[in-house]
Amino acid sequence: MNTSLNANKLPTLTWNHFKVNHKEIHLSNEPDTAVSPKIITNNSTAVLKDSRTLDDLTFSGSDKKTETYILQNASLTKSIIVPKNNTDTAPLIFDLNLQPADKLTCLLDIVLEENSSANIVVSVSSAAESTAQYADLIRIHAAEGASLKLTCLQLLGKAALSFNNIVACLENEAKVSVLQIPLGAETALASAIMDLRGYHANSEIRSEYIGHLTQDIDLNYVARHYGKKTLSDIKMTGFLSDSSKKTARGTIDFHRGCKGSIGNESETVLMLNKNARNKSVPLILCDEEDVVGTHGAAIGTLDEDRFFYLKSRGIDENSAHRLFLDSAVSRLKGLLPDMLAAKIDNYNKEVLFNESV
Amino acid sequence: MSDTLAKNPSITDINRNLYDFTKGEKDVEKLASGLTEEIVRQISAKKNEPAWMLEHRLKSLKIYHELKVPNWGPDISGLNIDNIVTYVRPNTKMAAKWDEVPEDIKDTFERLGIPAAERTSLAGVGAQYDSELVYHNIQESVAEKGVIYSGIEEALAGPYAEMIKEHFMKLVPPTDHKFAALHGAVWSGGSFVYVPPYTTVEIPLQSYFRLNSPGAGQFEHTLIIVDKGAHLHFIEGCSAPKYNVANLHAGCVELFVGEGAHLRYSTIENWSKNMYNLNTKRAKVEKNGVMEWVSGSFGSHISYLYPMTILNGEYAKAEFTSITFAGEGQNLDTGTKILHNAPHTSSVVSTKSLSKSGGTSTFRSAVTVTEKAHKSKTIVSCQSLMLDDKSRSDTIPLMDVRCDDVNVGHEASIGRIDDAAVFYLMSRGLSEEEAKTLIVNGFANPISKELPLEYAVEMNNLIRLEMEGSIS
Amino acid sequence: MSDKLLEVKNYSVASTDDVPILHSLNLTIKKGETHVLMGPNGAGKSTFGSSLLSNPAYKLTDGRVFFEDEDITDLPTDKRAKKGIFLSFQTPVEIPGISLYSFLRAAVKNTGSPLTGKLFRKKLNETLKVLDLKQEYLERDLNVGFSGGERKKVEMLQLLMLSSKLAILDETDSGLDVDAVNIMLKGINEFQQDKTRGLLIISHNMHILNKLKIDKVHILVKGHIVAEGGSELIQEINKDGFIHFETQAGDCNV
Repeated sequence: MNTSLNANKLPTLTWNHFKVNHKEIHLSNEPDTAVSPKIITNNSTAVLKDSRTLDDLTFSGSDKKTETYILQNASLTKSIIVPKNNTDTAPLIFDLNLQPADKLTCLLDIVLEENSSANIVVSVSSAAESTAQYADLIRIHAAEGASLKLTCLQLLGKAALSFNNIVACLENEAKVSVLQIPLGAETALASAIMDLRGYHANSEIRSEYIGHLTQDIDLNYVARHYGKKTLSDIKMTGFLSDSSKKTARGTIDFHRGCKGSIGNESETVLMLNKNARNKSVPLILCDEEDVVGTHGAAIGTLDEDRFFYLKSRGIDENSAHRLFLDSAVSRLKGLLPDMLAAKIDNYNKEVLFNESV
Repeated sequence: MSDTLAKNPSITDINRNLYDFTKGEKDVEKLASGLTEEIVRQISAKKNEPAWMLEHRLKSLKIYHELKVPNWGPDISGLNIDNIVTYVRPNTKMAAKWDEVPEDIKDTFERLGIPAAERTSLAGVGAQYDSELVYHNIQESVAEKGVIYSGIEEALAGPYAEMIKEHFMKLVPPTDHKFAALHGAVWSGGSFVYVPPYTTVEIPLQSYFRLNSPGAGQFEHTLIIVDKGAHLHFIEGCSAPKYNVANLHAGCVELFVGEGAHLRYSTIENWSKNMYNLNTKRAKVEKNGVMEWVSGSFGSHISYLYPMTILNGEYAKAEFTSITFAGEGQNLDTGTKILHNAPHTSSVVSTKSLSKSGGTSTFRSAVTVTEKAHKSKTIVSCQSLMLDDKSRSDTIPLMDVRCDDVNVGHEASIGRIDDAAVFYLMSRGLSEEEAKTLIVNGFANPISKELPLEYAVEMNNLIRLEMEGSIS
Repeated sequence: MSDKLLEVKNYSVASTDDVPILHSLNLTIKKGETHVLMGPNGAGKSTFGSSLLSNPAYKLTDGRVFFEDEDITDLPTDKRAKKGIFLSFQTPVEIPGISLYSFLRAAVKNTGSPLTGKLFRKKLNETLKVLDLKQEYLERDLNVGFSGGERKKVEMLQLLMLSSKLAILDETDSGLDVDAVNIMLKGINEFQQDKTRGLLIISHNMHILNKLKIDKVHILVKGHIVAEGGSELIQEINKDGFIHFETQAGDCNV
């Protein structure tokens, strides 16, 4: 039995025939295989629980059907509670290593009490040959003055499906920075929906991908501005090689009353193969006068001047593609703790380097 | 004719009343409300049109009943199609001389300044009153070049019948969406333009549409074929008085721009604010051809308007420049679609939108770059201005890129009038209203400078009207 | 093998939309020589430099190009670069997504004398020192956000790392500060040490030219070489400008 979901819904619909209003996926209803996370940290103050803590919080814009699927199927449920005023930012790493045919559903509640900060990394990986299914819901409550850095690294094998969902609620002066790196899986969905409820709440979303083989990457980011003087920034960067495709939805949603808010969104896509396909849908929804919203996107290949420059240094088109890959891999490694950087190297060797470019 | 207009032949001194006058519906035959095969057959029969057209109408009607209203965009549940009288015909035959146009209709157009503008700055004029074309004229010198500008129904009975058949609803098939199907079933009136190869029409041709009866629909079809290397500027103006019942405009514009040809299509739309404007416009551009759209949307209660350009030949170009101003009670969903379907094609989209007094303005676009469109370039830029805290403005662009060696750019911004700019102008003695009007005019300037002078003046007047009393 | 490095014969170039730019140029640069190409704005100097690396913005309408006596007329840009021709750009393009380090590593791998990782690293460190460039630059994206002086240094860095045989240095007519000029001089001097190499400098900058050993000067006006000679030509232009030569070029067109 399967559950069909219209995932990654666009907050306001547009023409149906472009197929960007949602991403239809089918998730297995088979019971999860037991996967226990390796938790690596020097952080001694965060409290871990095996139960949910954020059921009472409403996250506007969160898809109910997806939520229900995760809650019903989750075999791994954790809460991380960071006590008041605790600012230990040593990374807390959740390392989930899946066997080739595993199915894992995960619910993670992250609670940051007042003026606390945390640095949390969730890494999901498997061997290169894998048909695994991974789905999660990460719920975040950042209380007044709290600050969270959350990184989701996904390195599942070539035939896997990954569905990474983040919803966050931010109170006064809270800040949440999310970095999603959906590198692996045949079908890679990633989404983050930020409720900027409090005064001067601040959300930052970064998404980095390297589309390869027949990968289908589907992204959905929403910053919902409710509080006054709230800030949001969405940045998506990546390139598409082979026959990969990517759909990116990014929405800045200004609600009436969010006076003085600022939202930015930008996207850069480098197309490196004639079979690659890119769709971008950057929305700005605005119900408030006193705001500033901007969006910029650049999609395409290197222009002739740039190619000529590279070629004048003896670098042909193939080497140029290789260079982009190398530079991206080393940039991503720089964003991660050493242990996970090694995983990216592995993935690079086993999948990207071998198969791609 | 009023004195003002006599002194100022172009449309310089308009005010809202000018658009709001109404004419009694005397002697007008109205068909029963609602849309049935019977009505469609009746329409066709009265027009003495070829058999293929009746077939086309019936096929379209069937598609109309099958298709659903869109699940996206503004709510159109206020439009009950079964209550719309789809066919209203003034009691006159088409006139080629202004003197022969019946007095009340003539008066309407005189008040809108149409014949005056024709005398001064237009190469040809067509005027549609409700669903029939009532007036059509073209300057002799232009006609001598072989340029055809006539009613499309009239042309269907003439030497260009075959050409029309080849092009009619080929760009906008009835299957495109529900209102295209409606149009296919009940279309009436409209213009046909043919510009022969390498012919330049130096001054613009114009069509003016006027919807006068309450609860009526206007479904005119405009078909323009600009042959190889030819040049044309076509202007379309629309208005209607205000009634308390909904009116519907579901026109269709099909533009064929031949190899190396150049077409500019300008529109100032000021339908009254009870209008559902569900108009479909589409252009296909061949090799080295250029299509330019200049569009100002001020009127209507609800608009769905996305003129589309299909760049079908190498080096074909499209430019789309538009402004949308949504005030009280208006929900204007406008934008464009561009399809890059050949190598080295390019497009530039530049739009502005304004929202005021609770109005909603939405910019919606789709740029598609197909596998064939190597080395193509497109840049979309849209700016939105919020004029108060009761209004709404959404930006919904979409880019679908299926080719690697292309260059696709997009930029959007939204915000309000800069307080510092208002303060600066007020410090020089302008009132707040004057200052804001000036700033909004400046915001609209890139569009108004693309319009012929009298239309630019009309647009600025419309902005001034919209801004009046905007400061609480 | 002769000592010829570069030779162009009857070399004519037009833009891709068929506007002629260079007319039947003949020019030979021998190993160990430094040549200067001068001329007023719009003479076609940069076009000449760029076309020697087969810039797709131009097309050869007549003539041949030889490098070390091999006909390279039909070789694409990257193949010419691999043969050992280096072109420095007036305004090097920004390429986001490629770090300077990976770029240099790839470019050096592609040369006739690739270096192993260790040797590459060693040479890179030495060259960085010569040019007074910080290690941090290596992690930044290629030319992205670099100042004019920084870009110039990075071009010099590439020149020295790539061990090219012929360097074509296309210099901006103005705008370089004293530091940048000194860096350039350092780079050029370093390059000139090896007598199997040759240099073509496209420049207006007298300050640089006065401090270099110059073997030959070519004056290009309206796409024609109108005069050739030794470094004394530079002084002449310093004094009288190009007017004298431009009159000559007028004659050429007749």
